[in-house]
Amino acid sequence: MGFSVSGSAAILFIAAFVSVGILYSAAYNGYERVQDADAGHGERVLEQRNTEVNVTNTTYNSTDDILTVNVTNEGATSLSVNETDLLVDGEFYSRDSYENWTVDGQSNTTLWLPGETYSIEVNLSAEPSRVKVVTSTGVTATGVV
Amino acid sequence: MSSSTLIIFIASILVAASVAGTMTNGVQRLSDALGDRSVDVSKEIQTDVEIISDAGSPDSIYDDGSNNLTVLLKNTGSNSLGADPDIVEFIVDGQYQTGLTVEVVDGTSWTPGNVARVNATGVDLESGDHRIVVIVHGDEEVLEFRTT
Repeated sequence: MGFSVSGSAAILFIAAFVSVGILYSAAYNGYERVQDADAGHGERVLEQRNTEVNVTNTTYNSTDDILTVNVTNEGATSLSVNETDLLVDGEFYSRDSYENWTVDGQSNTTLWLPGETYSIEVNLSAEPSRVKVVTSTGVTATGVV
Repeated sequence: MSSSTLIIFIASILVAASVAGTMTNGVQRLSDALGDRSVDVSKEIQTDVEIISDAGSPDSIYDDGSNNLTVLLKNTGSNSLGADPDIVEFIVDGQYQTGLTVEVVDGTSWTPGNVARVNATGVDLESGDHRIVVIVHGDEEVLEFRTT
């Protein structure tokens, strides 16, 4: 009698240990995965809050059909030119279609640092009325031509 | 050891083994579900999209002639999204839209920073205020605009 009780108790104890081991590793992995994603989200939100851009001026030259948009990075984050988008009258213009672009006079860079002005030139046949610049963090600025 | 003790011993071992088996099985199933759920939740947290269409130029959003509704969505999250109509839920004035096309406009895949154009056809909108809700992996974005 005594041996059957201790034998079955031993089996149950081992099963309990194994279960706790499985559950702990699964729970910890899941927690870590969510924690990593959450930390990334926190960083993205911080970056977004530190971003501010402003369309300083937009001019349309009707003789050359060129629209020039000047946007200044007035925030505290370094932005990427590659991930910055331009919408003219709500239409998306891809970077390949730009006539010319510079960041503070330079075009051999992809960084758009705080205080610098990003200047885009687009060829348009008619004068548009609105432009919108979207940065990589989703912060936008609109301007009227 | 008497035969009755032996029978009780075997029976108790069998019962203990079946209880242990059921328990570990249940725990295994629970941990699998936990793993799957954590993948889903982390994907939801990593996904972030913004509607970047300019509500100030409504003609670019809604084409009255062809009843086409176009919204530009920028991936501002930290993981790539599939440019697939299945992951984009599109609701216009409370009406769920099917038959969407999703196309990346500045690259080959919808990686962070890239913009996708979501197009819904056959949307008949009266002139007035309208509300578009776009949901991607649980991230909900709202665009309000006016048609004339």
